[in-house]
Amino acid sequence: MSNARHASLQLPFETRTWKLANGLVVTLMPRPALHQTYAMFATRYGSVDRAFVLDGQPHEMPDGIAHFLEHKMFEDPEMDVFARFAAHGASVDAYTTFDHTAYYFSATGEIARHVRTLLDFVQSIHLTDENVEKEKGIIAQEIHMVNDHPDRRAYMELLKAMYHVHPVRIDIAGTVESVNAITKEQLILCYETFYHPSNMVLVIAGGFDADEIAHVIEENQAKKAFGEAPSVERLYPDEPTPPVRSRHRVPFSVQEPRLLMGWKEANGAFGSNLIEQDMAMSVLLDALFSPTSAFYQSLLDEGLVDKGFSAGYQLSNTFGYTLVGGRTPDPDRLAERIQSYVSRVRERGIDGESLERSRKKIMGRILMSLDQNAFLVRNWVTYFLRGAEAFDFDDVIAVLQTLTLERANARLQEHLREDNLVVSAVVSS
Amino acid sequence: MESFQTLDAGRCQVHALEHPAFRTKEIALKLHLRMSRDRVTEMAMLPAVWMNGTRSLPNYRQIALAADDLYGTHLRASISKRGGYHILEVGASVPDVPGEDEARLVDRALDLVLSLALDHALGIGGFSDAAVEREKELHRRRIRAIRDDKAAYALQRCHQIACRGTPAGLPRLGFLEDVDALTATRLHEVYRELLAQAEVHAYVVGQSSDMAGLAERVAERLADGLPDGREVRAADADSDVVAPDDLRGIEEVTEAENAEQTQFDLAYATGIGFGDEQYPALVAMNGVFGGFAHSKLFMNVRERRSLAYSVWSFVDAATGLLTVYAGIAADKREEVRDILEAELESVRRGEIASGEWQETRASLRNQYKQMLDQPTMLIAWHHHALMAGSRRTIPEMMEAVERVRPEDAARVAAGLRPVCLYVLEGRGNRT
Repeated sequence: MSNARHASLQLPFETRTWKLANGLVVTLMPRPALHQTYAMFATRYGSVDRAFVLDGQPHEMPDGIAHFLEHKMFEDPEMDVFARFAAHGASVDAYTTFDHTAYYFSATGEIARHVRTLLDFVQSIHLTDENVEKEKGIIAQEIHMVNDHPDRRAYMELLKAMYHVHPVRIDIAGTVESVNAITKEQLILCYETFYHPSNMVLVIAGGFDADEIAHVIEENQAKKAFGEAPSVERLYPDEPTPPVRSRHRVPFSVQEPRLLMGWKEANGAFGSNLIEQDMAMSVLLDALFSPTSAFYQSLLDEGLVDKGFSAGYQLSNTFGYTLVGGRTPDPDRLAERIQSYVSRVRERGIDGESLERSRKKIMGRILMSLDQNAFLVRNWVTYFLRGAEAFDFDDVIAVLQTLTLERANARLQEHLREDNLVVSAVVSS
Repeated sequence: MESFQTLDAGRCQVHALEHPAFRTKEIALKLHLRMSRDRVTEMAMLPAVWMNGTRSLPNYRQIALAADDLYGTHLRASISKRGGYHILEVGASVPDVPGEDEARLVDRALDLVLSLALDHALGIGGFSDAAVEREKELHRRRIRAIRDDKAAYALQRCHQIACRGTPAGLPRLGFLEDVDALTATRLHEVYRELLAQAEVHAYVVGQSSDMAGLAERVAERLADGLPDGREVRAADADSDVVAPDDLRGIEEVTEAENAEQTQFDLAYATGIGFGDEQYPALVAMNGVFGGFAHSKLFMNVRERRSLAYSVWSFVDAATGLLTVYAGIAADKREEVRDILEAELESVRRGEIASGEWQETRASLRNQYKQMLDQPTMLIAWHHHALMAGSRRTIPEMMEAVERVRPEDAARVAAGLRPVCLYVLEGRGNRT
């Protein structure tokens, strides 16, 4: 069997990326063999962007405002936004993350119409004191729903134990109290600050005609005036390198305890550095913790984990961390096993065979993901908004193919240390 | 449009679909049989037991290594239920890798899938005493963990109550109290019953230069691995559709939970299952009522009254239950109930605006058309139709929905009877 490092890959579609006069970056991935088209319009604005200087004036916003704004973009005086898409067979939704907000539709026809609707509803805002108040009850129920979920709770508790002041320690939706404090004026200020086209990206993949859609986008945007891009400086507090505490324990109404271990990065990363580090960590974590490792099998044999045990990595412009964990009957024992395993592997590094196996697996997983428009678009948007301006899937594959054992082991040494580790357990109350 | 080619091999059927757009090949082996109280827990454990090792790959790590060697082929074994049937499934998603011999990769993945289901012996791999003891503990934990997902738990309870006394009322994972007494011998006995009694369907979807040849190879290998058994075909399928009996009345159950939010689930019997003539009308009616973000429930419970973030209605095609779900504050329960009853009445009276009707039909068309891009959805639809004794394809369903008129939806709504209101009451704030 040929080596994954040397497989030559031809993407099953072309990508076309360009920047409009107003600063909006557009990427089209036409795929005529597919019925579905998935389009995403996203802004580089998330829950961590809570403090900023606009035209020399400092502002600090209540927690959860980016997510609140996402909800309110669906307000339209003429026709409900959901109904407007539905009338022509599209479904629309949105989400807010720590560092971006994304609006997307999925449709199988009339793509030009839906692209216009997507651009139009996100590029206009219709707030009244009344409709802002109305949203607070809906968001409160959303917050309650999330708070009742043990895995989500375990995750947020870990971040609270990891970060002293960086706003990634705060829930994306904020709290019921912070949401109640949000005003119409604050929402409008954030909208005007962060929804300028030069801060946004539009990405579309699926069964559409690229020339037609490119024309529709150009025409739609040329008709609108946005003015100069605002001068914005985002303020993030200076985050100390060590975590807040190394041990954290949360009592919760839960049938089975959860353990999450997190290693904190000292810095975030941008663009191609971010992609490289992201891929290096994907391979390293797979080699260390995937079911093909002898360690994983030993945890199963000891009854310490189930097959939901997993590891993952997050890297953004201003923060980053590794998470390892899952459900376990004995969080303390599992934490001890993982800690001693990592310190043992650190002494000798991962071996070349494990690295090749993980590289091959991740290569196959990327190839399979190309069948999923939604996955393609979300990935593109995330990398782009994190600074990979000329992002291309070929680049990701190239990074994966050229990753060396030395680099993976260097990451092991510099990142998976004792002094940046947080052990967090959610246990039955 | 896409359609499966079926190879009838007696004991099993192989369904193949050549699909040029996909770079992933999907292979699935589905075994289904009637759930029964005396072996529901054993049956539920089998897929996990299989993953713990076969005769040739004696532990999970060996299985994972074999899958990763096939470019990270995603291998899975799962238990699901549809009405009163258990479905045991082994599946693999195999990437097309440039420069690799496609047939070789797929054949090796196929071997892996078939061996996971068929290559077992008592005392070896997943059926060794040690592996069974470990799996029993994991299974206890799986059953207990259902309660950690409040919304899923509440829905399961609601449907169990609505279907009480029938196979459809049995829980997917079985019962905690059964687990202690289980042994490797007992699990292996139930495993042999499964191979002898289940209806077996295999699926292959994706790009292939020789799909017919591939289907034949699947059929041959299955014939080698399966014992001869009675042929079970959809014609003798049992129906799990709950009758909308006027004499039954609604059962209301409230349980308390240490949670912030209250889960509200109200199930109606419609008497209409997947294979019924009226099924497209039921799906359209549900779309207008609570199936989409433009629906009556979403607009009135969430957008106008701010009572919920999540509020939906959905149809279970096997039992014909239409269930309304909402995550609410405990003291809003009656208000939510009043709104949904009023909205149901308005559908019954045929108060469906032309806009609402158009939005619903277009949304359903979009939903079905998107399924055509998803191999696992194509497989699931085909299999569910088989189980319901129906031949209705996705394109046929789209056409049938087009023909539904608002008065058909109103007539279906008129036949709904509430059978269970289940409320998992949160205390508002955590103590």
